[in-house]
Amino acid sequence: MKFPWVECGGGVTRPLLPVGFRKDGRVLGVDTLILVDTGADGTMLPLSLAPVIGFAASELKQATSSAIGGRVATWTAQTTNVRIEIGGHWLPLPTLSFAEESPPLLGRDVIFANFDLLRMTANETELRLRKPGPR
Amino acid sequence: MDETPNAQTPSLTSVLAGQPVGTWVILDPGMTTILSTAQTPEEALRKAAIEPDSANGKRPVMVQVSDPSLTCFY
Repeated sequence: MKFPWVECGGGVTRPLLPVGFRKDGRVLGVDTLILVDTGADGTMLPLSLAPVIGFAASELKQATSSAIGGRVATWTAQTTNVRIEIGGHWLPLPTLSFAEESPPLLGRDVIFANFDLLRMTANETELRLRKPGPR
Repeated sequence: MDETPNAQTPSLTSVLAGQPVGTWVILDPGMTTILSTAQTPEEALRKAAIEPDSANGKRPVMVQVSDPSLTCFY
């Protein structure tokens, strides 16, 4: 699967992927552009997206995370019933957190758990879904 | 998404021109036309009349307008 980078202003392009979210079988009616960030341990989204994906406050546990600029308050999802759609494939999200000022970040846990190739050039991201092993 | 290499780079600059920083914008699946704008994702979804979808077809795309002058470090 190849995804062209997205021009975000001032000639800056970024490796953003359009992804879908599904929680408890309910699919969010829009995709979100998410930044491929292999430096991030897990996936993080703006806190304002939590209710539209379907999270109640009781399903989020407040924590603190390390980020550029220092430590930030985060809210970690206490459920594993969330999947992310990348290139038409619904994949489990090992972790999902939310933060007030964070852009959507796709962490390396979901990338390297599901893809055996991540290739980036200056204008394109290529992901190859890992083939299922022998049963 | 386009499977072919060298697909045209989508540009958010022109389509989001004039939208205040922080605004939530819902675009058509091709990211060329604004369907709604609002201060919150919930309001943007409501204004665009978007309901939860169980299908896997092309969906609209929601983005939050960021300051293009800021350098991104994450």
